[in-house]
Amino acid sequence: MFELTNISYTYVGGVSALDDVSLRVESGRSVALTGANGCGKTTLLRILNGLIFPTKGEYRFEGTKIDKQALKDAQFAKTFHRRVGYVFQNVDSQLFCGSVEDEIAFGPRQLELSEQECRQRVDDCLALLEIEHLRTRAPYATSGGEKRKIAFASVLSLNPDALVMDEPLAGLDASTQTLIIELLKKLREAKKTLIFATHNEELVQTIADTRVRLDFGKVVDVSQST
Amino acid sequence: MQVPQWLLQEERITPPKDRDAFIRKSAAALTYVLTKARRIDERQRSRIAFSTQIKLALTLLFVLLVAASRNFAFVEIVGVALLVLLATYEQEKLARVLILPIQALIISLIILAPSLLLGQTRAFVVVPCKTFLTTTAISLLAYSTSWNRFTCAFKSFGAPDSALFIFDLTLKYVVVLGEICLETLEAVRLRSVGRNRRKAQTLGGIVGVAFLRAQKSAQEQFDAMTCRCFSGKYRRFKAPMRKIDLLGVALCLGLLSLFIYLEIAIRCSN
Repeated sequence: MFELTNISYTYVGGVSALDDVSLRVESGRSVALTGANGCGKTTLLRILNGLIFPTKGEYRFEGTKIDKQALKDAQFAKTFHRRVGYVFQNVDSQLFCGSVEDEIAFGPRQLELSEQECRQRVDDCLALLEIEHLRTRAPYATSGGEKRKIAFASVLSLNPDALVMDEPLAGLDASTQTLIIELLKKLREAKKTLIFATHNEELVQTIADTRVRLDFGKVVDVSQST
Repeated sequence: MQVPQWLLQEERITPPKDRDAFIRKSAAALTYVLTKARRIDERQRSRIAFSTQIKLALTLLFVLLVAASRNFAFVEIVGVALLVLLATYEQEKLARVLILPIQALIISLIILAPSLLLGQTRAFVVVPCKTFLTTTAISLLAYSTSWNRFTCAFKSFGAPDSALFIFDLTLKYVVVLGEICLETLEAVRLRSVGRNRRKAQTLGGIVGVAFLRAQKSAQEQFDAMTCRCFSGKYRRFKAPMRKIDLLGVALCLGLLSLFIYLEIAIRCSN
């Protein structure tokens, strides 16, 4: 599904974030990116989502090269973004609607699903993330953990084939962490592709089929979970 | 936990067409501005490493005298000196310094073009020259000096603390707010997977989120500064005078003397 070949990424000012990284993620697999802060995990996830493009190397999604040119085609870009959901590390930036239910319905409404179907998805996502009580609240007025749940719900409502997550458990209490891990287990069983950057060992052990360890922008170890 | 059936199935939806280039273009424009703003942080040391106070005084004096000068010989002399200084810069750095002055030069030439029709050829030459020189001097100062040094230099010139505080926070938040807006625009782009019938509402949401987060960040930054004993007063930074700074003072005096001499000369010739 995702294929990165010898990609490198250098930020303005010459800071190298990724150096000659190659990675292949098959559909339905789950991959954990681990490594110290600043090792290039977020940069790699942003490349996978087509938010930035490698300065060297090639990135292909289901055989199609993802670059600036490819994403200029609005239809392709929309299909790509629908199929690859992204939960930001900083969920504050991800929420921009006036109420939680509008936030979750934003994607389905754009797909021109019927209003009844949109409502169904909103209800299901609210129930799934146990945030029914937040339905009419403004997302910015909720707590950090609640914002992360809302961000998850807003991405899941699009029913993406692949879910890319940057520190999905950051800032969550123990019970919410358990909830998210259970949800990811179910999604993995449903053959969704999961790629996430994390420092949480439990998440890696429970969810990941493959662990990719990065160090100073290089892949230093790829191991299969037992 | 009961996962809904629709979430367990693969969907093949053809997204409806929509005109939403504004998100992509806004994000691209913001990225460009932020890239430039971040580059400002990698400031280079200038060729002559005067203290910021001297650089600021010299630049302000330069701008003032070039603008006030009625003798074009003064403009020519300082222009040559400035061009010699620019000639010592590498090509890439030179391009960064000159991009703004060249834009200013072109605009001033366009504005003054009608003066040619009225026979005012002198104004057509003098004003763009002065514009180019003054903007180049400011661009050089901005390129070679970091923002926190500017704050120090302004304090040395007696700027009030409240003005410095606003200046300091504003500069920091140009980048911070830009990043907030960019991240939110990216989130909108990632979830713009079809036809958005509520574009105005979405745009309002982005602006609203940016405003609320800016307010929150400013409050948090002020609280953090208070917790670290910031009382609203900036201390005056007393940098020791170095030999190179004496050269800067001499340059200021030389510039002023040249200006007075040439102004007297032009009066006498009249």
